[in-house]
Amino acid sequence: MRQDYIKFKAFVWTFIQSIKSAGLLLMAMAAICMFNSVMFPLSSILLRNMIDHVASIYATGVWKSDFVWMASLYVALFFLQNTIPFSNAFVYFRTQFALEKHFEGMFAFNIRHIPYIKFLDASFMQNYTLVHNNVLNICRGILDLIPLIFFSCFQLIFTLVIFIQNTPWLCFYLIIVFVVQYSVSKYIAKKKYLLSKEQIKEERYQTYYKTLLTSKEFARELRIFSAQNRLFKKWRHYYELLKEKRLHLALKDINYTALADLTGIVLEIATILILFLLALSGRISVGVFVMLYGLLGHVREQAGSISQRLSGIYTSMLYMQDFADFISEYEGIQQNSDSRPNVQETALPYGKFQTLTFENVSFCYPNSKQNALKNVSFTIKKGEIVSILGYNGSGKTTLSKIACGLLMPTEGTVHLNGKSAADDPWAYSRYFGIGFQDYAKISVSLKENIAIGCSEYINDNEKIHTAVENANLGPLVDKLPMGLDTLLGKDYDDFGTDLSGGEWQKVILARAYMGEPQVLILDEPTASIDPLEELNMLSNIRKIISGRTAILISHRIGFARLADRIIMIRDGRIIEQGSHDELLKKQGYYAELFEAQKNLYLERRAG
Amino acid sequence: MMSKKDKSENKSRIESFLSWFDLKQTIVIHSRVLRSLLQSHKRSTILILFLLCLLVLQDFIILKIIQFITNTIVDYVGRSNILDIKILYILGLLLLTLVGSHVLQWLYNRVNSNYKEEVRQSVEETFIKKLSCISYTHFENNEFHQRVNRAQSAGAQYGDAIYAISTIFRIVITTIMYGILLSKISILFPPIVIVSILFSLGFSGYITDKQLDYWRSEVAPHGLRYNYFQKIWEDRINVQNIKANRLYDYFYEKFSSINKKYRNATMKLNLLSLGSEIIPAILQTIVFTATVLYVAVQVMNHRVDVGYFAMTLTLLANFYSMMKSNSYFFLQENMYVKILSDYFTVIDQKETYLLEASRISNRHICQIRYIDVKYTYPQSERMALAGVNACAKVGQIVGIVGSNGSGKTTLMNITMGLLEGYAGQVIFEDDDGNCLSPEHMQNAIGMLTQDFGKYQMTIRENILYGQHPEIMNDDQLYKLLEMVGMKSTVQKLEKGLDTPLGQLENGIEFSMGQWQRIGIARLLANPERKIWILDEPTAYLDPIAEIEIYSLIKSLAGGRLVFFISHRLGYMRNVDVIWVLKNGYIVEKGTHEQLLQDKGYYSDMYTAQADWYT
Repeated sequence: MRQDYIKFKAFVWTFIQSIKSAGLLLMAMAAICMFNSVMFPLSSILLRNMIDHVASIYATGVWKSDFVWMASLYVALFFLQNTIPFSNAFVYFRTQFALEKHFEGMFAFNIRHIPYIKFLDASFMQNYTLVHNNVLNICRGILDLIPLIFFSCFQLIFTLVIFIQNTPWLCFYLIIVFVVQYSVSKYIAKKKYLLSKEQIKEERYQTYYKTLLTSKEFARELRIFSAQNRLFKKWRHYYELLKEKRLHLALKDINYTALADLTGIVLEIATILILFLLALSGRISVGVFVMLYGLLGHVREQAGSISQRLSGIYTSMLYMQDFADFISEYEGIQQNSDSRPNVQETALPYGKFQTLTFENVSFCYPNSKQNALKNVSFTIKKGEIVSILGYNGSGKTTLSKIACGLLMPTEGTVHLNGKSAADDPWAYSRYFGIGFQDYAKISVSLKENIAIGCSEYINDNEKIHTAVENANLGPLVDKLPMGLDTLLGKDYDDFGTDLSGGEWQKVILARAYMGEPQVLILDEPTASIDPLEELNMLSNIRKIISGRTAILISHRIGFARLADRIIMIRDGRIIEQGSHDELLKKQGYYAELFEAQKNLYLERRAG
Repeated sequence: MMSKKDKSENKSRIESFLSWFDLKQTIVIHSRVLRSLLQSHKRSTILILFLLCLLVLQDFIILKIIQFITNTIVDYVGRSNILDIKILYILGLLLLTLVGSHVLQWLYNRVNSNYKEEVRQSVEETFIKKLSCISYTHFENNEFHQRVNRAQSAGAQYGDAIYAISTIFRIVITTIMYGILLSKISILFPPIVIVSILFSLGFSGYITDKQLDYWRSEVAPHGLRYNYFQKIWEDRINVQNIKANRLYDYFYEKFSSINKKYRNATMKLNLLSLGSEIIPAILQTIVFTATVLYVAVQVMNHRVDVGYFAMTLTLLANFYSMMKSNSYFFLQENMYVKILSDYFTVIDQKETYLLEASRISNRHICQIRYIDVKYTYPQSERMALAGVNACAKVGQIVGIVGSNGSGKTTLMNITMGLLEGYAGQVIFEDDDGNCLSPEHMQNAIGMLTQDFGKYQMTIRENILYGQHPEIMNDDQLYKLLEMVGMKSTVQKLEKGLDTPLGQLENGIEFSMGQWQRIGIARLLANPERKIWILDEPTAYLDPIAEIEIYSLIKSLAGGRLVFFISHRLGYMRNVDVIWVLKNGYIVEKGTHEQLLQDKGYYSDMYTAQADWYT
């Protein structure tokens, strides 16, 4: 009972949201549906009269003039029944867009309250994706409600009125049929919802193996190692599991529905029998008989369609509950993430950048047993170029994400100019321009891909051009068909341009340079660029950074040579700090790596 | 006798007639679907069609019953003796029909459910089998790639196609039945009704054609953008960017403006369809009215009975509602027609591999020769390889050097037999002097690239990728792991070799370095492969580990031919010969010392690197 109450609350909340965003449209839909609902009952009544007339003409041979206008009205109704549904479609689509926009907006707005760390949690992501996917279902639930109430229910009411006028006891027939149909539909809908949740695991497996067999990424190895057959069998295994479950449910659906229908049929036969006898004894006219016969069939259909719609709405209610829970869960967490007018860096709450300090910072990823960062402490001063050197799994990327404000340390604090980063996360993030290792390739124009590096300057052409220059993107811009306005990526437009890994890397660099941030963080900025070209870039970087502060994160020792200071990270801990010469003198781990690299080149030279 | 010109004129007339209806592609696709269904699921398809016929028959019977009952009432009304044998007969018939139709519908639904799932599975299977067995060249073709993407949902769309065919089938048979019924009043009736229906369909088809053009050019692009910007929030990597750069408003506004544009375009389309439906509706109403009046007059003149009138009204109402609900479907169906046509294009490709391929390659290759090899990627203007001439002998380690885009990967892809359509020759020679081409040599080559597959399966399955999991026992596998230095790591794990890796099975995550070693183990698990292609296999390792891995590879290579691609020129001093690629040519060939002496391109690159590191 309590469960149903919660669902109902969520439903009411959703409904109110819908009225807020598309109230007028919903009312228009309702009006059209109501108008439409009268059509069939009216035409049934006309049918009765027409048949009675014809019967009497047949019997008596006397022509009644009423017949003509009755027939015309019948025809007019026929015409309207054919055309009104289309105007309804028109309003339906418009409403659908309005609702989708509203709920998507709510969803998107909510994201600013969710701390990024949640997105690294697999179970959160699963729920998140599910909720987002079901925004459409929620809209459809509301949209189906209107015709349900204003068309189906109204039509049923009119039908009831007709029944009461002619043969009142038919109402019981209606009620019984409806109750049976509804219970069956609701049961099936619930099973379907549960099934969809159960199937997630098999669905993921099935999709994964399908990808292994059909996508470009795995295509080469698939052929070289001749793995097609083996993988195909695995795919088939999971697909058939899914199929079994689906089929099982579908058959159950059919059987139960048939059973429900059977009850209806039995009742219908009994009813028709009685009507027939009544007609024979003259208690009802032949026209009434035909009309009621037609209505009975129609009623059964309508009851079925109402039940289906209701159970569809019931499923939507379940999704509405998920959605409402999602929105309310994070509403309370204020992350100071509201939009603010752009201000100069000097006027920001922390003042002009002087120092960045990590104090005993530890970080642990969700569902992880080990800390990715363990007790890391260091300070970076204005104008320094610091290289963070570490290999895969050392925690350097985690460090970069904490430095730019994306993640909050699980222990310890980060200070900017002495003040905690947690005081004002929005302002904190303004200081940093970051080029991620796992960067986002967004399918917008090149210009926008660069400009999104700093939302405050997203329309500032001058700043964009500076970023283009700094990243040496000039040649690429010239190469592209529409220069800066070229669409990147073929995600939705075949005429977009695909860039190579190396070209994207330069775009990401420009993105990081956007708005000339006070602190530049680059995480593996040359991963896709061959070391032969990397050398060119390295020589440029120093020139570009001049005056500002930079944190260069890489596993390539070349960057270490570039930096004023080197911080070596391994297994989440800082193992060495100092300038290149200092560390060489120390003869520690850095020295060992450097020597190993150097010896590769030296040996031959000596010989 | 028709001349050739006349025949072709006729053909083009028919074609233009059909295209006016825009039925050509629709007919082609649907007939293809029907043919393939009859091929793969002959019995079930015929059963379904048979049941459909029965369903139509049932409609027919019900109409007759309406007529019969109405007449009976008219004849018997007022009589005192109502318990006539005829009455009982009617009641029996009614009972039988109602129950029978119910059972029939239930049967049809059951058979149909099964049928749809079976067909869907076979569609998916065909798709997957085909894609896993066609030449890799197709994947480098962007247009093909787009088709593959669009055809992904073909399995689900097939159901729509089946529904379409069964609906058309049902409509045709119903029309015939109704025609028979109506012909009682006048032989003219069936043709008139049929013509009016055909005209409506034709008109709808014509408008649909216009709508489709509009949809394709104006609406669909918006739709694709809409979906993209809706889904953008679901990718963690995008969210990362949005959060770091405070882009919430920007993306929401983009979504809003696209929502608006998409909505406006869809509204226009709806207006078009509204207009297009009114004219057929008017026509149908006129025909309907005329029929009703005519029949009424006939009734009054006692030429037909009242029951017939009631039946006609019901028949026409049913008929028109059946046509109406299916005209929506003419608009929607064209969307799945495109998906299915992409699907058929994909599965029509020739297969290069067999699903159950034999894995043994018994040849003892002694060298590979490249003779003037040229290659241009589909849809590309630049030549990826512009004329490569070289010879690699088994037992050599060949180093391949060049900047991104110089053709290294292309050359290796061709060597592995993955790319077709190259100019020139690539010849694998064996001890007996036989010459083989790359397509036959795939099972002789082991590859380890920078983006090698880190499969979300168990460790055992990752090492024995592509092979039967029992081809090596635990001892043998541990021996391999020992060779690559992973034995103790795996032994410490609870499930040992059967530990799942990756998120799919909630397994553990290996570091890049550990994965790299598994990759090498995978190579070693196929010991009969005498040619190795290593493409930047240590991109993620620290220099010390890199050197370790290289020494390992060198010691394990045995008498193999190893192609070793790397940017780290420091390792090139350990190879037997270096090929330097630039702009699709091999510009320099020789040992490290020779090339340094030549003071050419290689020498420049090497010195620059060495300077940086020393």
